[in-house]
Amino acid sequence: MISDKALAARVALSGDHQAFTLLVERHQGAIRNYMRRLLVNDNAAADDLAQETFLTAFQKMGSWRGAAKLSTWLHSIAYRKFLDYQRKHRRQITMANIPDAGQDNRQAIDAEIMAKHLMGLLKPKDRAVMTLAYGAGMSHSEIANVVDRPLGSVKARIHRAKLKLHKWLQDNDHSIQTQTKNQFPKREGRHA
Amino acid sequence: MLDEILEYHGTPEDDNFVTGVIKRVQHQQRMRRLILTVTGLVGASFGAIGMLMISDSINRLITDANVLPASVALVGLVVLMAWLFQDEVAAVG
Repeated sequence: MISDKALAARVALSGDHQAFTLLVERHQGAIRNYMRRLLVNDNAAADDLAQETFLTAFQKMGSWRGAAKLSTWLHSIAYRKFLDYQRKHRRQITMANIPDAGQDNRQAIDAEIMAKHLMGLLKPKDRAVMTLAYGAGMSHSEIANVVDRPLGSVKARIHRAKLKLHKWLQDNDHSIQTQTKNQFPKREGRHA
Repeated sequence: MLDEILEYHGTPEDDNFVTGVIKRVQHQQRMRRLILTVTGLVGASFGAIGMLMISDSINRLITDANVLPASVALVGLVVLMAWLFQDEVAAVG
């Protein structure tokens, strides 16, 4: 398999569309998942922003030096796209419908819906770091690279977000823990 | 438990997405080429008008036996322009 670096070099040097297509095929899942988590309820807008992310990557491929992984670089572009989108559509990004405490939703919700509910509880920047940590499986230093914040700040943000989510799970659905083990599907693939 | 909930549950991957990205790339390249062509033509038009306006002075310059410096300046200008636009030509092509 041709490495990301080799493909990126072909794109940067000659605008090779075939090489770029391979890169998009390889990384679309991770970037689209990331955007979908950040935008919580709007998959269409998430996919549109994911496309813009790849478009920007094509234009600036020459500036990727290979110090970080290509996926990390793509996630950092995606994060900036999300921040821009958030600035423009501040009022339109709504919280996900959080299930009421008393609502008997345990049978109905699947893992992805639950994840989006939890994402909806968090501030956008917390959402970004939590998704990178738990969805994309990045290390704290990689996340710091993506969101362009100090490592300590990223760790603190993740810690606060984890506490918040744990508290919500305990307050609202503490018995879900026993169900999730059997109910949630196995991960299909991880894009680091 | 949080790990299990927040991990990605599936990978949204389809050819339509890839096709969409490539179409946007091609559209953006067409626009870039169009802008370069239009601005190039506008620049050339203004250049031609300018040349017409100073053609008398140029005639005088050449007839005053300054052909060599004028030729050197012209070649230098062409080389400079070629060097300046080399990246753009490579990117568009």
